[in-house]
Amino acid sequence: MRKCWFVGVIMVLISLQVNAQSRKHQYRKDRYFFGVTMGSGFTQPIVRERFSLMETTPQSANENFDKKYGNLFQHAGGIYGLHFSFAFTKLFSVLSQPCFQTQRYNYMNNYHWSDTITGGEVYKEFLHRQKISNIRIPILARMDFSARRWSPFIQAGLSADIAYFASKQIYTDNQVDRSVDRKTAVSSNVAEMTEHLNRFNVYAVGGAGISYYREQFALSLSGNFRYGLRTTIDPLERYADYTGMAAEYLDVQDKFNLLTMDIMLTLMVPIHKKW
Amino acid sequence: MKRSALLCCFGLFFLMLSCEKKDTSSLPFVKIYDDQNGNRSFTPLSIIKSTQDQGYIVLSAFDGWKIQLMKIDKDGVFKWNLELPDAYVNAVPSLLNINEQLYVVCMDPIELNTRILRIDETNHSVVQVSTLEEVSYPVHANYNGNHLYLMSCPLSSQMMGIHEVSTALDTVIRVGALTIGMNVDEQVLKHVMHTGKQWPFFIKSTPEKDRFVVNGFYNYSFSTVFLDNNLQFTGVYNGAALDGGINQLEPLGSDEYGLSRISGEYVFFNPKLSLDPTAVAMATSLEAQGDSELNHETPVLIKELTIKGLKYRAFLASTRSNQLSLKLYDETGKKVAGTYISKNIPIKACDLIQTPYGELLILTQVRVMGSYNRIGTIKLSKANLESLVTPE
Repeated sequence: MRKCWFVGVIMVLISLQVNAQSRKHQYRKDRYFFGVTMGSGFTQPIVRERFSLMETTPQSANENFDKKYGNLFQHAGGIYGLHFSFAFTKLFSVLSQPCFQTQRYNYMNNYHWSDTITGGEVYKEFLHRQKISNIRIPILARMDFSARRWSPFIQAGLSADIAYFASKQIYTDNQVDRSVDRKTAVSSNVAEMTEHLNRFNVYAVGGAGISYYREQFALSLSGNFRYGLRTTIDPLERYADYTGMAAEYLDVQDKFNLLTMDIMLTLMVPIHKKW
Repeated sequence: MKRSALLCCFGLFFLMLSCEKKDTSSLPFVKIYDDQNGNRSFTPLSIIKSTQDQGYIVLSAFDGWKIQLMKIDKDGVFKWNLELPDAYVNAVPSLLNINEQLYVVCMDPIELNTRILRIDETNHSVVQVSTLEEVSYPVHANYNGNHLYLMSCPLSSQMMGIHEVSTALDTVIRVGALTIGMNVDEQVLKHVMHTGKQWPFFIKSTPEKDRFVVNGFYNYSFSTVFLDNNLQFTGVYNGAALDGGINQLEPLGSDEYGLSRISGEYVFFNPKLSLDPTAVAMATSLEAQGDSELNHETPVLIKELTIKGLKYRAFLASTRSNQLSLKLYDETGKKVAGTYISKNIPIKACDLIQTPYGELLILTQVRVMGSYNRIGTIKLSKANLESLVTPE
């Protein structure tokens, strides 16, 4: 609740600043802006179909072996890259922010066997941590609401994402309590899983932000939601055991699309005034 | 300048939307079928296409020589399973499709004779079709399109029996016998109860249906014996006592065979070799290529596959490093592809079939968590197989 109040106060202050700013227009039409950008992204898999390597039977302890995914804010990753934009009018511009992005997502599953020969009940709980490194090339249309120094904007477009490396690591403990402490759990090696992915993906991107323009530079803070239009895992490679973890950890990934929420800070400079 | 910026944007958009479309009509899978009872151990025996739908029936032994049937769908998803009553034990590792009905051959644990059961997929049950009093301790069965042939190894007899069964499946109409000359009761008991070495017993008919090849105990050794259509001995390739010899063989026609043999701790393959059905020779001297990574204590499976309209011979075996090794040879016997399947946990190939959709379905025993023997299925899609035989 305190966080909500804090965000609310910030938003009010920003809106006051936007309205109270100087009436002087910042000239943007036909200008190029180049810059650098960095930020953080939070990722959430949106599951469309569940897969499990272990099949339940009437003799199973579990009703199903569905994975339990972590929430958006447990899956943070970094973003850093460049910014290019061109303002067609004083309020409309097209921009691209080619950058490196790391997406992470976790899930848990567990298994149980009754083994009276070797000593009673056997429980296994697994925490699967995945990391995907992408190069992403978005093309966004940006509509500003003001031509002054403080300028809120909305933007939308598409992004081409190329996953160039992905890896995973699994942590195991012997209690089913929906938590695996990575400090005490037994961990696997880090295994590459790039071959399991649809390497090329297209994301629909939409977001909003605010820019601050000066003659020599501009700053913008933006938030975007990005949704992968293709599923992350290649269906033809889902069961291929590139990680060596399929049979050993009973692991196969679901069919899902990734939803990412980015918060990015961009510093840009106008290269020249008019072509 | 505006125009070039716009063209650039459009170009990038089109690039984004021009994704390659993949054929997802046949997808590979790996499935392991759970049982929370950690004391229970499964030994998969045979897999066959269902006669009712696109699924498959799996035959397994569990807790020794008890029998379980399981139905899965075309994607490996579990449908139902059935533990057969205790009156039926020791299923031979061959599910049989006889006139579009599926059959299991097994044994009565008290009377020790053979029972033939028909699988009722609709009611998830079995129906006993016949009792064959004169066949005890069955170890293999083969239906060659005309008749059912059973192979048995009765205790204390020091003989192996080959039995031709009537088309009604209720009487034995012809019998052949192989003299062992030594007591193999302990080996046979451990084999049928799945408590020791699994011997590669088989009886196979040649494509011409003019003779049979039988792998079993014969003349103080584990040997490969040729029989004529009257089940009379014509020739033999003797194993090295009980420690080596042919462990798998696929008749290709015209007295040619794809075979696997064991010598000491090594496994040798020959995808195309002429064997003389009247010879008396040593199996261990047959020309073959050795592969030291293969585990000589696990089965080798040989099957003819059709990929892209061409015939290939698939050799599937377990490696000593807990993988399955799949090798494909063309019709001339030249190796065209090799790949590894699964990793890191003990896995044993038990049966394989090519599906009507051009896929390869492998039945395996998987030791889950390194502890529990469970039934596993692995499917390689049509695209997987085609990529194997397509030069890069």
